[in-house]
Amino acid sequence: MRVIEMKVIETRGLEFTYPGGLRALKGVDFHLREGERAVLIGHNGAGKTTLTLHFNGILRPTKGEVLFRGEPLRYDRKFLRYIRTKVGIVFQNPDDQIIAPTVKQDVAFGPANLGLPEDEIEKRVRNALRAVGVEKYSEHPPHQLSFGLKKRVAIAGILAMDPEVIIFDEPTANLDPQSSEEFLDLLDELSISGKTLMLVTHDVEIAYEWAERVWVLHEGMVVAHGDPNEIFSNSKLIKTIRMKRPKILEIYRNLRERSFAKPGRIPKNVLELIDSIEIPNLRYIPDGEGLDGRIIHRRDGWAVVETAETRKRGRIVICDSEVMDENDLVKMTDSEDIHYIGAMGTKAKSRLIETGIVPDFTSNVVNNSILKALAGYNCLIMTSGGMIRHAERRIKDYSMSCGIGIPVEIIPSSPDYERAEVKNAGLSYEG
Amino acid sequence: MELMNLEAYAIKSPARKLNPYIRVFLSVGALFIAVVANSPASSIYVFLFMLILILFFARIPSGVVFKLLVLPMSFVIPASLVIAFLQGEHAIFSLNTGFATLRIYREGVMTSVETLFRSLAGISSLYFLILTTTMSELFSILKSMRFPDFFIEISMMVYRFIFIFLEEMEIMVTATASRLGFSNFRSHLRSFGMLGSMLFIKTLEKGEKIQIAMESRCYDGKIPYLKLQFPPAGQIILLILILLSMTMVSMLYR
Repeated sequence: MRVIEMKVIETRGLEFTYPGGLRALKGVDFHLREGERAVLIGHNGAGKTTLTLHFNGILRPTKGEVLFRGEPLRYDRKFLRYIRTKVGIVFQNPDDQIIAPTVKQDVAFGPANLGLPEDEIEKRVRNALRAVGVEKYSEHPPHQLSFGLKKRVAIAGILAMDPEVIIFDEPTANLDPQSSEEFLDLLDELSISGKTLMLVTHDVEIAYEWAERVWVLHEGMVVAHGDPNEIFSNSKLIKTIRMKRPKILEIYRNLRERSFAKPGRIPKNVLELIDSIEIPNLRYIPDGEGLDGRIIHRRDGWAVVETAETRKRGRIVICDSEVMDENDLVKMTDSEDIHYIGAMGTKAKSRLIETGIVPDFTSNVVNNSILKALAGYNCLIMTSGGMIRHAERRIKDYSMSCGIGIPVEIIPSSPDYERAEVKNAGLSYEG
Repeated sequence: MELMNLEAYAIKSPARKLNPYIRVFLSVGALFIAVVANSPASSIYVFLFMLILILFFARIPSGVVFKLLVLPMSFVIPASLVIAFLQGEHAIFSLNTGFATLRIYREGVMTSVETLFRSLAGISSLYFLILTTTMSELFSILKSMRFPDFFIEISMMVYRFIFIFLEEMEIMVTATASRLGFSNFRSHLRSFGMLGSMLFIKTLEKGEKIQIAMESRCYDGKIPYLKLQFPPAGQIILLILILLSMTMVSMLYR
């Protein structure tokens, strides 16, 4: 059984001085809890990378200690091998990490050095390449791949060692926006599969939206840690650590100051932000065009009308991409009834690419689908495995917390007891 | 970059149906026969044979093959021309320029033609290897033939880092050029020196980072190789027949 809130990695009074005399860390107390999603932020040169290199024993503390599951790190050969299979680090520049002449060989590098049998290596390599969606490049030399693909290969190289904790050093630096969104999607998948994850980043938007806990490193010391809302609402702290407030939070605070937004839960993403705004039944429509309701305001050919109608809600269909055959997939995605298609998870994405279907959303799929359903459109979410339950639960949670029922349908429907229960506890179908 | 693309052809080439051992032994064998056999006919035979393989079996675009052949030809042809003037007894042409007499000898012409075709045969055999075989296959074959590990591992790393440093160099050269670093001879020299030293420093830095990354993945002196299958009997027989035919030609037409 999983021990809840167990500290996987912990440092106590960690100090580190580089041979040149640079004091990079000055007494750091840090911990990562089992299965959590943490972010480490801090200005350039705050000691972030130095800290992470202590977690797998690359650097040895000048003072203080590092613990893995309560056990202090020992720096003998055997223990170092052990800790490095447990804690994986994905480095910022994939070119510093990829050394073999083909993608496949590079991913096999870690497992081979663990001395695993050949079929086990083969299996792990296949799974890791599939998990990051680069199977079709397995025979390619790395220098023929784009930066984003190389980054995925570097991640696969770490996944193949099956670590419990994965640390990503500046994962979204140099990635185009679409790739970084897809990277976050991949992180979601890893997180759902039970890995403990930590990002080292400057990107406050990602830190805010993604993290469960934020650690702030400043001049070699932890100056704050806690819930992202808390950290980023602290204006003084943000200024000292040379960060800025995330856009979503900034917008929410301004709306709140003018009493436009609901108090209470602080929004973390677009969906929650939209939700926190109390929207009255006002519509902006061209003046004179079938006005149905009370006109409140007229200006420049536009009218603000208060209507009595409530907007029709769309429904969300969650489809298991693995069990559907190709014809059914195409038939379903072509259906008039479906307005938007989202692909969630690497498997579903590659499945859709195989069948030539172009999804509308490839990242943030659940939130985007809810937003579209709220606007009255029907959405299809293609996904597989544990992600099906996860998506369903997220939509249900949303319905519960906002009181807006969004019909959810799962195809193919499963006689699975638990799932049936979720369905029944379900959702008030609101007209 | 032409160099980077060559391996891309190898990956796409239908010649990869052939077992990697067969590909390597075919090109090395053909090279050996062309070099050892003392007959222009066999050189021509090997050259044409390999060229046809490259064009129609490996399906490399003829434009690419032409460009690849022009490159070494630009020094093979002048070199073999010179040979025609150097040795022999029977002059077939002589020209008195006043202070020296240029003579072309019959034996010289023979040697020159032989050299030309021998080079062509050698080049085409090696191009067949390069255009159908990826470096990782080559490394794995070296490994299976008991080449020392350190030798293969170093070659592997060198191969990988050639491209990284080429990229790095390209960026630095562009940056230098856009700040007029190559505007005249003096600045050319100075910039070149600076680029060299920077590249050296970057190499050291890179080395350190790579060591950290390798240690993080439990580096234990093991680099994985591709699993190679023993070639099927049909392909072995085909290889022997081809090499035999090349040897026959070299024995029959001296």
